[in-house]
Amino acid sequence: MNIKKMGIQKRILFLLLATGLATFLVISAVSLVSLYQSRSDSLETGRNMGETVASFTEDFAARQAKKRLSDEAEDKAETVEHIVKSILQDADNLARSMTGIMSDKETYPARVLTTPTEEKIPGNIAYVYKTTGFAERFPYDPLLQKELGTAANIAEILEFISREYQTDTSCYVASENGYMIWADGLSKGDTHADLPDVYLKREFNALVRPWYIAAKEKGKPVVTDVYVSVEGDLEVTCAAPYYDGGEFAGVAGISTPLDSLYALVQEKNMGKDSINFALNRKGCVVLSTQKTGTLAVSADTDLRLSGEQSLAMEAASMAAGKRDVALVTVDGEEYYLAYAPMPSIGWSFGTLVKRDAVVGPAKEIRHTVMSEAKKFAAVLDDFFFGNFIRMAVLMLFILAVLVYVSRRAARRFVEPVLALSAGVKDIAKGNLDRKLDIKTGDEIEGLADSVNEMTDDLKKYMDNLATATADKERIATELSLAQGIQEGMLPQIFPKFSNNPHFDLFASMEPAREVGGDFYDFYSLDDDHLALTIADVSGKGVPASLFMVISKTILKNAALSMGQAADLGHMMEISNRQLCENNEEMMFVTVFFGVLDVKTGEFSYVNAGHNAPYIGRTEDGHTEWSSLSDEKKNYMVGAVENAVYDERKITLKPGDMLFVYTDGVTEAMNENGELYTDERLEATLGRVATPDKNAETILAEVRADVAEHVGEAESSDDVTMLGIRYLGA
Amino acid sequence: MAGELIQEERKLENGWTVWMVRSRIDLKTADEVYKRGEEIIAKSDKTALDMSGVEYLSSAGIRAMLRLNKLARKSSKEFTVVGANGMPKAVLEDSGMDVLLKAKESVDELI
Repeated sequence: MNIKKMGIQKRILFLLLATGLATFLVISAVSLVSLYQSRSDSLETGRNMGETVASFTEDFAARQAKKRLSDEAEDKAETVEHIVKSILQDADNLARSMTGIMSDKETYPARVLTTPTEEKIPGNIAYVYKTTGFAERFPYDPLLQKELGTAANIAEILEFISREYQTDTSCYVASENGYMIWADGLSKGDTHADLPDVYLKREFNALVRPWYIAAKEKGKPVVTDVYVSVEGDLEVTCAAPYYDGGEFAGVAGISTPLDSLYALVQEKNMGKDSINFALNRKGCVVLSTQKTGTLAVSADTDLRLSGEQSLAMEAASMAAGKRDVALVTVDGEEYYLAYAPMPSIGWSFGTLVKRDAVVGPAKEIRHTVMSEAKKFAAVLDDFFFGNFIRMAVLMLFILAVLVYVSRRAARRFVEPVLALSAGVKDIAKGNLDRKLDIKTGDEIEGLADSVNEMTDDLKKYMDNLATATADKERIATELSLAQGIQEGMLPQIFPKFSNNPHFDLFASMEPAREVGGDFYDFYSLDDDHLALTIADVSGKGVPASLFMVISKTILKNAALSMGQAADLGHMMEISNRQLCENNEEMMFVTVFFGVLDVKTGEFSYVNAGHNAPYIGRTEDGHTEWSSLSDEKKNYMVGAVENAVYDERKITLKPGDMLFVYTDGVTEAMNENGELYTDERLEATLGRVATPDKNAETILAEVRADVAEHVGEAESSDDVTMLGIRYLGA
Repeated sequence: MAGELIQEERKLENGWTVWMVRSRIDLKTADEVYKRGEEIIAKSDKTALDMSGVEYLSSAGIRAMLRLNKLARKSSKEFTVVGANGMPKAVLEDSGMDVLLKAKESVDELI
């Protein structure tokens, strides 16, 4: 597309559209990029925010779950420890009561307790068991009778305590001497307790039971490890030694099957969704909600040696009395294990929750948060997409408006220009009456006004020009007439003298303007005398020509009025005075005036400030030219009122020639400003003015040489020449 | 051009005002020379036209000088030309104007 070849309307439209489109595209690109960037940033931020929130929430939930698990472990440990400590306290109280009774035998009456013989015996009732040895010695040993009778006073306390434990708990005191008094607790709904077979067969020996040995050895209340009861159940016992007279007399104990103990623990709201267990210092599970598997109660399985590395490591920490929450693998499944020590009984309580149960909610929260974040991102994406569509539609609308407005603006701008152009073309065709009526209020209107003014001025100018042309034509006509008149005043009567036997005369005058200030004249004063005049009036044009007419008339009158013997100088003085009168403009004229006596060849002349003529002396067919200059110069005529003029005389011989001229000849200037000069005139005369040529030919050749010198330069002065050759008497 | 044709006048200590014309004094420039001379004569009692820079003097130039001379005489003032040489000097001498205008060879003769 070549914009230079477009019309102005298309150019403006092109420029407007180009500018508008460029701006529009830049704004659109920036807007869309910004929108896209905003979308990307927002989505990225949304994702990051969701991820951060999800991670934080997940972490927080996991930590909360772990803390809750830890708190639960602490709480359960405290609960179990409290229960066991209560039992241990009861056992200690029982031992202290027994010690008190045995230390005050005189105060307590002898009592007799029955020895059961049935497998089912009523619960919460104290019985006595005698080992075979004790039974054999008892009838015969009053001290033993006394001792047993006193010890039987513990029966109410045993029965009371057994009622406190509504489980298969057994409360008892076992004497070093071989008897044992006990009362069995009952589980809810039971009315009788089972009497172990070893009791019936009198094969039971308390002195070898773990709890007895432990309490006797420790000399203080103890909680036994898990052991197998005589009934074949796993149980633990809280036992404490009692004394008789300061001497170890036996052990008081409360034995609880683990099931029963766990039932007690369960009653304390241990929770059902988790695995709970207690570990003793040996790493054996002493309590557990698991009946089978790794975490089932076991009297001889040390968890610290478990094949599960994580479990073994945490079991060691539990056995060492530490507390923590850790991830362990039990029976191939991952659990969070929280454990807390029970220092007073040397156990550690652990609670296990499946990993998913801990992390699951956190994951669920994370999933929820991420899901919401995705929804947010989707909404955000929809929002940006919607905005993108709206912006695209808006941009298309703006583009359409831009094109429409640009076309209208271009047309609106160009219409006055086109009107202006059409108007100017009409005016250019010559319709100067055409007026441009453009009211845009801008530079176009100003231009139209200027064109209207120019048209008015042009019209006036053309009117004036027509008038001026008419005036000029009139003046030219008048000047032409004046030129004709002036030429008419100059003697054109060469035929009058053409056949004169005494002289050959010719003269010419070419004015620089229509009318000139030069003139020549010749006329006969009488039969023998010929008057010659050549003059140059200062200045050119009409004033000079008028002064020329006056000068010529005055000079001729003076010449014709003077007598034959009159002095030419005097004649010139008269003429000068007449011309000086009222000559405020200081016009003057240089005059060469001479009178030739055709009979004698005497030539009288007066040179009033004029160029010195050239005289050509001819001898032997050769003419020698020289200047006819005078030593004393005369003033030009009209300048100095009382000027005195001297007459000169020379004599011409036949063949001699006089060449008189004005300064228009010698001062003719070429294009380089060079004058023709006197020297060149003299040389030209020497070359062309030979005796065989008449005056007319010589003047023509001189004029041709001057014209050659001037070339194309404008003529600046009148060129006037007069030549006369004396032919003789 | 006028600026080249006529130089700024200068005043000598003895009261003469000297103004110089260059190039040509002919039909085209004579009026301008006359008008400038008219202004200078109006404000100076003694006026000298320095023609040392004039190369050509026509009859129109002579007339301008005659008019200035007449103007000065009417006002009882002095007018002269100085420094004419070459063709203008010859013209002045041929026309007898050198005597009428009291022509001097150079400005020094005024001092």
